[in-house]
Amino acid sequence: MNCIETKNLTHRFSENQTVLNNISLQIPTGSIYGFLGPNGAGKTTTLRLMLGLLKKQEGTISVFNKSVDKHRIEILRNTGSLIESPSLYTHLTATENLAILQKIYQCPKSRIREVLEMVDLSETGNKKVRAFSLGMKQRLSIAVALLHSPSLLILDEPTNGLDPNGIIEMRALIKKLNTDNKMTILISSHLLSEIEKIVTHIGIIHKGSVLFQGTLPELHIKQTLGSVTRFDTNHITRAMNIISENGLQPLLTDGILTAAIAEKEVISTLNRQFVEQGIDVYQISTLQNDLESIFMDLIKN
Amino acid sequence: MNFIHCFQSEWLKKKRSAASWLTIAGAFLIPLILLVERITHFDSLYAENTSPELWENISWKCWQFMAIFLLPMGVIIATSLITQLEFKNNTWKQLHTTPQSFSVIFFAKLAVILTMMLQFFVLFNIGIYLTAVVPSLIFRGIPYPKEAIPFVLLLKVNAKFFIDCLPIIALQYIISLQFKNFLVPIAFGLGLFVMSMIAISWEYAYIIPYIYCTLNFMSKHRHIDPHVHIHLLALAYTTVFIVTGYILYVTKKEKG
Repeated sequence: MNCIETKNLTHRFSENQTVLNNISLQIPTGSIYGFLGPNGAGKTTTLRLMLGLLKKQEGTISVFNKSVDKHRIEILRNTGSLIESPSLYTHLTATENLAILQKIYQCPKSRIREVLEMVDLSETGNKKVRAFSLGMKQRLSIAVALLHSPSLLILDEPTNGLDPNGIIEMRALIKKLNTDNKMTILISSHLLSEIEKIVTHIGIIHKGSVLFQGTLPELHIKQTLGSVTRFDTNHITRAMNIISENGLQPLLTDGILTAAIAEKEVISTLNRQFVEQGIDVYQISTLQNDLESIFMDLIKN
Repeated sequence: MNFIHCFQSEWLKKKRSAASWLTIAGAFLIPLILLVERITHFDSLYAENTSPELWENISWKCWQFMAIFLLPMGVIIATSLITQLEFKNNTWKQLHTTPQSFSVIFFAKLAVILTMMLQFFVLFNIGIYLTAVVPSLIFRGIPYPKEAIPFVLLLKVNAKFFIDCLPIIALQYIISLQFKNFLVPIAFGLGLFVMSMIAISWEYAYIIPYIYCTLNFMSKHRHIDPHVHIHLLALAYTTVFIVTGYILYVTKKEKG
């Protein structure tokens, strides 16, 4: 079952500026969905549309199987969000900022202390938010998003401004919320390395279009498919023919043959055939694309 | 209940804000100046405090400066400051992702501004009271005002000025909700205020929505048609501005 589903979401800021082009996303309930894309890809616009901050132009958005257009308030009651930079009243303390939202959500007052402890800000006392570091503000924004114990958390680049330790802690917190509270988490980022350790599903967006959507293992398959094997032999032409006879497309670069091979059994078959044909094999090596380069390849293509 | 919770939440936001300090400082400024002036003219204190028209005189003096200049200016600045809290802190997106209807948010914010205005009027009247009473507490021989406080009269005066402020509040509220730049509502408000001052002797001055406080104060010296009911006009303008502002706010394409 999907927690969020968008169908053919299209958005234009002007006649000639299409920001989103037929975006169809399926975010499963209970998943940590990494929404990846370079800056300006359309991530924030998509998230703002999901939260009703932007007026929808084309397509449909449903959250908890309910249309955002018709059930906005009901949906927001169970949704916590952090969109881009922190949204905090800087002349107030952390507790006062949370008290403002506690009045609206009518959650127990004790929850304020709980969420402050969760993000390690319980000792800030009377310090005004304007005196907080960017990392502290980001953590307080997470506390704001968690105050009413939502079942869906939408985080837009939540690690912005955090130091390496803060990023690790944030990852641990997201993982914990997902595991312990069964919270569905949609997290956007422009760095795959930043979220690949925690996400279960990934959606890659570029120039307003979705380039890939699926589980992390599915992306790994793409990674394997994208790997290249190099053959260093004493007889290039014959080796090239053997590779071609096996239905592959060999390439010759600097005297080394390369071919895109996904299964290791194929490599051993080729090796056996080389030896049987009297070709000396000096080296066989496989270059695996890491997730980052797949991400970059997808974007480039 | 939603509205009450939203109002409570909005009320918390103004804590320690410039607008809340302005409400307190603005309310006591004129009474304080007048108190100092009364004390420096010690010789006339006894006669004043025993005069049967003490409250009317002090109240008139306080309203003189307040109605013509400080009240419209204070309303322009305070209304803009309250609304700008969201722009300044980049919090519209946070507010608009809370489970509340846009109508509740719009009217709760407006209610906070109106409540602050009421707070200002109450504090201003406390200031007027203290201006009359404090000399008798400081100096021996100066009696406590003999005349009873004319509550009904003061209440009427306050109610009229409050109504006359409403168009300013409503229009400043609309402008402040539309523009991120704080200078836009301030410049707009000051522009209209200056315009109303220039037009004060014009026979059709009553069409300017920022002029009613001044016209109310100058009731005996104004040049407009005496049959024109300026308080009703103020209420009409307020209604039009609020309805327009509400439509603009609710139909806004980008909400943070």
